[in-house]
Amino acid sequence: MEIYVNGKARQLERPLSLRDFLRAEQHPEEGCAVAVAEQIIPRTDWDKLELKEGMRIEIFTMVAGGSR
Amino acid sequence: MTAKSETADREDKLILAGQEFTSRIIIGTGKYESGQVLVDSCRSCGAQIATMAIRRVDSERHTDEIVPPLKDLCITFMPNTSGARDVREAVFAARLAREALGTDWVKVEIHPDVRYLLPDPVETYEACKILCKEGFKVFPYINADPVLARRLEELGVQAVMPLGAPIGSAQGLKTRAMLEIIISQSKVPVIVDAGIGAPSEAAQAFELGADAVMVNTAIAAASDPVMMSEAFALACQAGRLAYRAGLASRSQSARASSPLEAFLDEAMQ
Amino acid sequence: MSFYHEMQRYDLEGFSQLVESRTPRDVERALSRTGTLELEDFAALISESARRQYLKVMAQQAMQLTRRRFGRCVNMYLPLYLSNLCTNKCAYCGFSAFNKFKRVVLSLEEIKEECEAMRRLGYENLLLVAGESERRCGMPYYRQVLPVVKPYASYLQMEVQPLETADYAELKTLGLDAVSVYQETYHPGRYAQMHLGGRKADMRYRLETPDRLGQAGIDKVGLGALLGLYDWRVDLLALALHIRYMRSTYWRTNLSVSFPRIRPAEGGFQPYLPVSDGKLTQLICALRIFDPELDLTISTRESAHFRDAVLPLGITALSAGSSTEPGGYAHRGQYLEQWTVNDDRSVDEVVAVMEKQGFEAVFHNASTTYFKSTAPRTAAS
Repeated sequence: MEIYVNGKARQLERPLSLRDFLRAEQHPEEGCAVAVAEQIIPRTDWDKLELKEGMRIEIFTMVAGGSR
Repeated sequence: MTAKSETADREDKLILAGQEFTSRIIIGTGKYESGQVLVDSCRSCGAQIATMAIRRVDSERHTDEIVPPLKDLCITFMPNTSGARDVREAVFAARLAREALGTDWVKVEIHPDVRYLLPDPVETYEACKILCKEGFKVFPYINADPVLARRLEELGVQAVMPLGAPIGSAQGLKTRAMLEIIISQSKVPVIVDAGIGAPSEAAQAFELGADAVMVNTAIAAASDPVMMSEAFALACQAGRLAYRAGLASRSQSARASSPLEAFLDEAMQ
Repeated sequence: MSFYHEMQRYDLEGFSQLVESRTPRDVERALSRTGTLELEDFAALISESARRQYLKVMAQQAMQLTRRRFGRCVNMYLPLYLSNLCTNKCAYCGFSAFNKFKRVVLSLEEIKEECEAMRRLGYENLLLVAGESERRCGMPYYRQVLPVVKPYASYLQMEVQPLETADYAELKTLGLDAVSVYQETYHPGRYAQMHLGGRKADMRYRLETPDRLGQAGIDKVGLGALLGLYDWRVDLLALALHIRYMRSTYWRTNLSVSFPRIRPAEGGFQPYLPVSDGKLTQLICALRIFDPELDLTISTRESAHFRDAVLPLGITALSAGSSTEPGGYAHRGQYLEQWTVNDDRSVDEVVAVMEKQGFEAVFHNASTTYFKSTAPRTAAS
């Protein structure tokens, strides 16, 4: 199964929830937000959201910085 | 004081969105050589608030995790919408940051101008309108425009953040005259943002009556950021104390005519 | 939120003491402030020690601030008394419902005659004055009056009973530029003693009138206390609070302050605490220093000598050649006047003195209203 993460294609061997995916990626959950089709997925829905073929997810993280 | 409910401000706390702070420096987190230097600099000036951005993660490049170490310092996060060029992007960034950090604080900065990164007043106003309605604690970064500051105040923003000079320019308080007006009439705290290049300029902002300053490049780009951060802390304290102590002003001059002089002599009896 | 709520935060009973306890150092601090003055600073400026030791310094500052903000122009206005009818029972006023005299409400024809007479005197800045009578001098009457007066008035002011926000917004569409509603006294106890009957006995309604004016988007709002009615220290500090509140809440609204004063008169109402010429001079200077943008008005209730002296200290609007009786410009001596004019010099005489002092008397106070109907602006909704 193929999904897109921040525009890049990724292969998944089995269906995963969003939370399982983030864990598998070792992505820190703190300071992170996820959107699908410009809709923000609340943290509380991360377990419920099953990643599907062709899904485009965007992962955002707090980073140091500002305008310049 | 005669006001019954005038808060005793002996401790001189800064209150932002109902939260109390003893430090009046807000740290911008960009351009530090490492996460560690950033953390040390925050510690060295006693900062209690820091701004940060939200970005799409580039999974192949490792970036320092910024949230946990600052959380350990008990820093309050003020996520910003930097990079946003219009209302839509700024509102999206604010919602993302709320989700990422669990805070309703947001520093609204919208700068379509790529050269000076000057804030767009029209987009900023509209974004603040939406975000205030959504219950965000909104801190708009604006040009030093007193009317815009009042219009934003009416929307219910928690503070205004007028610039002293273009961001990163280290030119000091070029907007001084307008900052004075904003400070004199603002009902919300005024945070002087952008342009402060040296501790003396931070002191000046406080002497004018600013409630807080936001500093980034001046510390991050110093040869010794940690030492510079301490210098800023001292300057901020000095400026704030000078403001509270009341500066003696320049002398006035105007002459009364002689009949008026006689009238005043009588009036003083 | 209104100024009524703002007032609850303060203890008026402590105001006299706040003024009396100011030291010369406090006065100096107030005079050297670079930014906004605090209430304590204003208290220092109206204290006795300020009058005795610093009045000249205050006068200089006041002159300088006035010059910087207003130049050498002084606006000339003239009151037009529409009626002496009043249902209020105010212990100090000649028009009080207690007094028996011939009551009149000018007809539209009579108003037109008055306007013609005022125009002959050169005035375009007109102030409509009336007692309070909902029945004969209410909105239906004003709806008819304004269209008659407006062609004669480049700037139109009113000093009548307090009205509703929607009424003010409507009158604005008929050309109304400015409204004055003086609080008389800000002290609730004294206010109740002085206002024994009529709508005016409702202090809160009056106190919130400037809020309604601000919400209706009226260009200029006039504030003031009737000096001598109560302890001027209390009323002046409350007035300063009112100014500060209006400035921060209705920042699109211009403000003016007037200084009506009760003088001790035989058989008349005796002031609670008289305000001397020297004191009033000080109060004018103090208000100018407290708020450099304020319009300060002085009427012909004051003497020629006093008016000439205080003019350069901060006065921005004057009347001259006034009549305080309804119909008094076209047909003098028909009806009772509200108060006796003290400076009875002609317009030309007053203007001549002003010119000698280096001031220009401005008669064509142009209105800043671009559209007849501007949607009322309100603060954060």
